[in-house]
Amino acid sequence: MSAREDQDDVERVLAGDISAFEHIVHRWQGPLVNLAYRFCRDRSRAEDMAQEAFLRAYRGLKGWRKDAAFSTWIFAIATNLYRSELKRMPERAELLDNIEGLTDLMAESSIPEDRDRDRAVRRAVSALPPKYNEVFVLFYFHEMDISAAARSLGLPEGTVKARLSRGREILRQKLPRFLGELRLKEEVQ
Amino acid sequence: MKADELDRVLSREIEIVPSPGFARSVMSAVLNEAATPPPIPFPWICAVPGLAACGFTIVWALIERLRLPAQESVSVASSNLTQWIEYVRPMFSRAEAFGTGWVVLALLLTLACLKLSSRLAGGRV
Repeated sequence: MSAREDQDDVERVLAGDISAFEHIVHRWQGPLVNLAYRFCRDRSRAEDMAQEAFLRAYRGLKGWRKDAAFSTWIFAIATNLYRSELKRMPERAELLDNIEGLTDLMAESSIPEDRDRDRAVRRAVSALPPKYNEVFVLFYFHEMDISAAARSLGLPEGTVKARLSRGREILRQKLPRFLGELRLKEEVQ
Repeated sequence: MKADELDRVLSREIEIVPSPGFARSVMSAVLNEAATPPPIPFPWICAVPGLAACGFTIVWALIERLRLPAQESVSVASSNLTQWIEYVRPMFSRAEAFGTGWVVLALLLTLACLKLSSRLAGGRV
């Protein structure tokens, strides 16, 4: 994605050519919808959240200081919105309560399939308290780039590292048996 | 749990493609937003003289109050209070005859109910 194209389109929108915003939408719709999906795990809701993020970006275009990359700015806006949405999701509390049950369920079967394992781990990550979950979402969304995750979240890198570490610790406590089986399976293979 | 195991699982996220009408829907919302007139800003220019006058009056009253000698101010205050009580007593007697106390109580209860229900609706309780 070209930073130059973003800057040109922003300048055109600010000059009154609203249709130029469509280019920004086309360039950023994939990343913004995918990031929203990682927060809410619901496709339709992810599109609603991404649309709201684009609207906020449109309203705040004048506030983009060009010393930061447009990508950093738009991800920060989207992340801020998605974090608030995440905190408002009532089903989160239910998921947290179900982690133990999930572990038992996985332990009943012999060796879980990869697909089940992935789903279980993602559910466990989604059920983490928001401050850990959002760090996980951003860290993996930005392909394990701590500084990019920290910029999107508006947090110091040290805080992001600490929360990742604490989040992993919680996961280790919540899914020990299941993840033990995972290791066993990988050793056999 | 090993960090690399978690990295392997969480890095393999499925990529979803926005629905075909998504960009159109966003642009429609943006165009609506652009067509909406901006909110009317608070008229600070008109309000500032009034606010300044209020502030000046309060400061002036405070300064005048501090300039009164302490002894004098006590006697003035107590005589003022007595006069005020004498002045409002007949009003209270008349208000009592009309059951104003009950009306005030009902109004307070209504206000409390409104506050509580709005807090409940807003999920703050």
